[in-house]
Formats: sequence, C-alpha cells, structure tokens
Amino acid sequence: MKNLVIILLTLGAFSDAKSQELFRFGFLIGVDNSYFNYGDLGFAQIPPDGSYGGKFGFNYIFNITDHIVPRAATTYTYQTLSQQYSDDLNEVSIDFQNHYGSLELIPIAVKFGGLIKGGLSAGAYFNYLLYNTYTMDLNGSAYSGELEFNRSDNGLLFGIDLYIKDVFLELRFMTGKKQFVISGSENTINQVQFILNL
Amino acid sequence: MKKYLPILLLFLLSCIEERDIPGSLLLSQIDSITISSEKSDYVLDGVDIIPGINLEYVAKDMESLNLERLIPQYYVNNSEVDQVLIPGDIAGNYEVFAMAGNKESNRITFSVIPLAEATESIELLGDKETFYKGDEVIDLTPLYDVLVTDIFDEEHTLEVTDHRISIYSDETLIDDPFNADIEPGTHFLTARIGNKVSNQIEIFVNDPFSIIQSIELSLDTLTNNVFALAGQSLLDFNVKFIDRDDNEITLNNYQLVAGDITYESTVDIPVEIGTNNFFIESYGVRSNAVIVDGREDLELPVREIPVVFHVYHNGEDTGSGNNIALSTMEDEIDRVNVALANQYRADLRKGQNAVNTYFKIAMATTDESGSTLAEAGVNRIEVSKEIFSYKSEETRQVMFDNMWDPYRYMNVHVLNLDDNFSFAYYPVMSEDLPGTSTDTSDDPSLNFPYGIALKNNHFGSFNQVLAHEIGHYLSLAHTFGVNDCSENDFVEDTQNYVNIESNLLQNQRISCDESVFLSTNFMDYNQGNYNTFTFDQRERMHFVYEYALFFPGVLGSPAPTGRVEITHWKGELDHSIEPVRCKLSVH
Repeated sequence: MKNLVIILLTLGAFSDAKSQELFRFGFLIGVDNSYFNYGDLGFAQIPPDGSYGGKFGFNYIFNITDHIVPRAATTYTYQTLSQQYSDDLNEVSIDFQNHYGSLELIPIAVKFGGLIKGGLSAGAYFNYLLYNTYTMDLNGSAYSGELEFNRSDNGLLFGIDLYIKDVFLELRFMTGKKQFVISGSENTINQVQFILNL
Repeated sequence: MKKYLPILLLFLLSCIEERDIPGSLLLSQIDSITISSEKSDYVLDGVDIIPGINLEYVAKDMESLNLERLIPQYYVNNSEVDQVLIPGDIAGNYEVFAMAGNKESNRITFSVIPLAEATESIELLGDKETFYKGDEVIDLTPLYDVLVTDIFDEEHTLEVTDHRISIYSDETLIDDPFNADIEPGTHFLTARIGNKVSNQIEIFVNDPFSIIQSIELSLDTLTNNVFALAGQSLLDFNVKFIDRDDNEITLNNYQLVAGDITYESTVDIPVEIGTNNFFIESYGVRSNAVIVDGREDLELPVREIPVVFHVYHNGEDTGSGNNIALSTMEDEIDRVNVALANQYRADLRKGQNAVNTYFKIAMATTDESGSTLAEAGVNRIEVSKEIFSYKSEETRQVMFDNMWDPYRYMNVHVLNLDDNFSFAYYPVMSEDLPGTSTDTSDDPSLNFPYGIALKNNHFGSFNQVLAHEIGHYLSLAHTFGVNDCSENDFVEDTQNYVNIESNLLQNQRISCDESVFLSTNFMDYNQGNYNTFTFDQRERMHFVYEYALFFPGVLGSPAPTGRVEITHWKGELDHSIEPVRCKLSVH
C-alpha cells in the first residue's frame, strides 16, 4: 500500500507541470467486471457471476476550478460475459467476448481535500459493440447458433475518485439500458471498473 | 480518509448479491414450440402407451438454431412428467404439452377408448379340442387366443384370460378359463367383448369314466428291467390311455399304486425287497401290472486278482512303440478297479442293477520263481514278430508258451494285434456254470492260454476294453446275441437283444421281447456309455472265483473251498478252444 502511494505521488509530481492548464489530455487504463442484469438487481448491486476484462483510452479533462473537473473519455473495452443456466432438464452456457468502443461524458466531477483528494463523478456513456464472439454449450455439447445483439448501448456511470494531483484512481459503476441479446427477456449489462487515469 | 475506508468496503460488500438466473439467453431465442403426434386415439388394453411425439421449435434464427439436443419438459393433464406415458388401464382424454425455456407448446389430446367401444370384430383363435371332464383341469388358456380388430383397423391378440373378454361355452359364461367347468358333450366356444361375438369353435368334453377302454403301464426306457435293487433303484414308468375307439388319449388324473402306497407321479419310484407289483388306477379303471423283482444288494469280501502284463515288443525303449510304459498299465488297472467298484462314469445313468463287483485287480509283485519283479505286474518279452493276428494259432501258441501260473496270475498279453480286436478266454469250471466248460477229471490240465489278449492301443480307452475282457475272463458273455435271440448271456438281469452295429453310437436298445431299454453294461458294445456290471453278473463272477480251475486267488492266502489247485497245470494247447473276440472301438 505504501509503495502504491509513493508511485501515485510520483505520477502526480510528473503531471504537476500541466496542472495549471484549463484542458488536460490524459491516458486511462483499467479492469472491467461485467455482468448481466436480468431486471433482478437494484441500483449498484453486483452478482457474483461477473467476468473480467480490461479497458484503455484517452481522457479529456477540464480543470474549471481546483474542485470542478468535468471530463470526457474515448475508450476501448474488452469485455467477457458469461451465462451459466441450468434447470431440471437442460444445462446451457454462453460465453461472450465483446469489444467495445466507448464515449464517456462525465460533466459532474468534483474533488475536494488536500494533497490527496477525494472525488465523485457521474455521467453517461455510449458503447458500440465493435466485434464479438461467443461459444454456446447445450447439454454438454458445443452448440452452434447465431444470436442477435443490440450493438449500441448507453447508460449512466457513477464513480468514486481518489486524486493525487493530476493522477487519479476511479472505482466506477456503469449501468446499461439496452438488452444485449435481443430476446424476450431483459438482459442489460452492468459494469464495475477500476481505472487509473494519468 | 482512512476512517471512511471500512464504511466504503461495507458498502461495496453490501452490493454483492446471490441470485438465480431467471432464464437462458439461448432458450429465449425460441419463439414457439409445436407439439404433434401422428396418432391420437388408442384402445384401452391395459398396457401403458408411449405415444410418438414430434416437437418443432420456431426460433429467431430458424436456420441455425438447431435445438434437437434440447430436452423439453412435458406435461400430461398439467402434471409435470419425465416421459409422456398414457395410462393403459384408464380410459379418457389426456392433454399433453411441452415447455422449453419459458415457452409453452400447443396442447394435443390423446384419447384412450375402452376396448368394448373400440372393438370392430373378434375372432377366437384355436382348433377343435377334446377334453376330459374330471381330469385335472380343462385349461383353455394355452389353446385359445382372441384376435380383436379395433375401429382403427389395428389388431390385438389377447389371451382368453383378459378381463375384458368373456368366454362362453354355448350360452354359459366360463368363469375361469384356466379351469373351465364344462359338462360332457359337444359345445361351442365363443369370445365376447361388449356386444361383439366371435366365431364358434366346436369342442368335445368326454367323461373319462365312460371313455377309457384300457390303461397300459410300462417301464420307461431308462429303467426298463424286471429286476431292481431295493432301496437303491428308482423306476420311471410310462402310462398310455386307450379310449373306446382304440385311440390313445391324454389324461393327467391317475395314481400309480405299489402295494399299499399310492404315488401321484410315475418317475423315481422306489423299489421294495421282493415282488413289486405296480399298476395305474384312473377313473375306476386299473392298468396292467408291471412286476419288478426287488433284490437287496449284498456286501461281499473284496477279491483281489494279481495280474501280470506280458508286453511283447521288438526291442524298443521302454515306454515307446510296442514296449508299453509301466505307468500306462498302472493307470489302466486304476481305471478297471473304478469300473469294478461301480464308480465309472457316474455322470451317466446306471443300469437298475448296477453293483460293486467286489473284485479288485492288483499288479503282481513277484515272478513265478518268487523273485521281486523289476516292474510290478510287468513281464517284457522281446520278439521279432511285429504284428500278431488276432485269430491265428501262432498268436495263441505264443500266449500259451509265455503265460505264467494261472493259479497265481491273471495273464494279460499285450500284443500288437491286427485289426481292432482284443480277446479273452472263459474259465474252465469245477462246477457247472452255463456258458462255460466244466472239467471234473482227477487230473485236469489247461489246454488254452486262459487269460486276455489286449491290443496294445486299447489302453486308456473310453470303452474300458480291459474291464470288458476281464468280464469275459470271469465268465461273462456279451449281453447281446450276434445272430439271434437264442444266444444268451445266462444272466437274468441283463436284457437279451441282437446286436446291430448301427446301435453302437447310442445306448438305446430293443430287447428280444421288443421293449426298449437303456444299455449301460460293460459287456455290451457301444461308444463309451458303459458303467454297469449287474447283480447277476456279479453272481457269476464270484461263482468263478469259487469254482474255476486254473484261477488265481489272493496272493499268500488259501484258495477258496471249492477250488482245486493242480501243480502240473499245463497241458497241450488245443487250438479248437476259441476265445471270445471283441471288436471294440478304442475311443
């Protein structure tokens, strides 16, 4: 933990030279945990069956004041998703590998505190499914079939930030609005991301 | 900041929630399920119905979504079932549908119609039969079936015991087809289902009290002998019923009577000492009597005969060629003793009078001079002649010249005889014994090689050739006549018959009184099916032991009372005295 703080302080010092600018360009990298919401989860609830992926992208940060720092980001996200379904008669599993391009708009971003600042952020995002693959298994045998997807999605995101000068860590919850697989049942995607912004 | 971290962690943990996945994304692709069946109507016949069901899925991607591996959940009358099974014993309608994912199929209905409603026509299957009132049962069940053609043109073969069918004799319902109560006379059987009536089959029910002309009782082939051993033999009988039209009929209700005892069976009937009088009683009619003389087996002292094998060879090493190995002869003696003790081939059914002969053969230990033999029971003789004729005088001369004292040894000459013969001589008696010669002179001499000539490949034979030849040596004749029934073996408890070569491969014989019997006697010819010396044969054998001239006793023990021992026994060879030649297959 101590080493992590030292690294963050060092990165903060590195970015200090640009801290007076109104606009700042930065990089972000993070891990992603995505899971289906079948209409059965309340706000920010997380089921234990999520799958891990990752993301990276670019930040566009506006230092309006020392405490108000809205930002936007364009990102690429690699997302894995899994559904393991079974009933008395059948066992069905689907594993998705999704590749998204995303635009994130975060107009509400505030920070407060001293050297190490806390922060909150909220905004919207737009995902576009660039490409995906999936494997399906029906009762122990590989199953070949084609599913239909909503390629675009949008939703709200909420974050808790930790600023060390211009470097900040973000724990984010993202909740999608559109069905992922077009079907008769609800299946939106929620994401929890942990992002390092440089 | 640090003080908020636990709160933050608790908040995050509180966000994690277990859940059940409400539905499969793959199965949710199914738009609809269609269930169908080619056949929807069935006749109630007591057997559960597994209808053929077709399922079709309609999904978003019709071409690629092949859901044949998907297992639907079936429902019969709204109850979940593992398999669609329509009860075969309850008429009615059964609604069936399937579910997969969260989609429910259409519903189809199977109808099970009672047989009475579904019957188009009935046919009673079977032939005209004759029954006997008062016999064990009049059982219709193995004789008749009912062929039902239903309104769907399907045929069902049902048993007459089927509860949906009524069987009538004329206009009288038969309550129990297993044991039908039908009065004597001519009747017509019909089958009925509801108001449908089958064809008629005419039957006759006879009254056995008035129809039996005679009952014939005979011993079964397996136990056919007028003698038997009391307490040991078990007899099997055959029963034949003859009606007043001289036809053989089958009746099952009879008893076998033996003295005061009545048997319900005719197999494995024990025998008492003395005259056993068996007959059948049935419906007041009595059969002929079968009389069997039951004798008590005897326990006798074991009589041991020393044997010397004269092995004629051409200089081969011991154990090769004609120079038979000692172990071969020892093994043969072991087998002979098993035969003499009534222990051979116990897996075969024995003759009714099979007994232990109480004879035992032992290898002689000393030669004529009293010296210990190098090989017990063996005298090896090197000769230049390679093959001996089984019927030549020369062969008999060689045997006569080489035989040892017949008072001390049973002489067995092991020769390379031509053809497939072995032979033996009958004994000379000091007292009359039918089938043998008697010499009552003051100074009798032996004029033939009393003993046995054994072909040197007859060892180990399944046929027990040596035991057969020892039977001759002990005066037993073949149990068959070669030419006609006048030839006799002078033994009462062996059936007399004329040997026919074609009988050799089996042991069923037709005796001179034309009854069929099972031949198991060592003194018969057949392919390895021997296992019996009889009670009366044993009588002759022991008479020979007591009264034969030139006959060995137990070494070192005195000769039996009736026997006369002569020091100078050897006379001149008389070629007119012929042995009994036996053409025996080796295996």
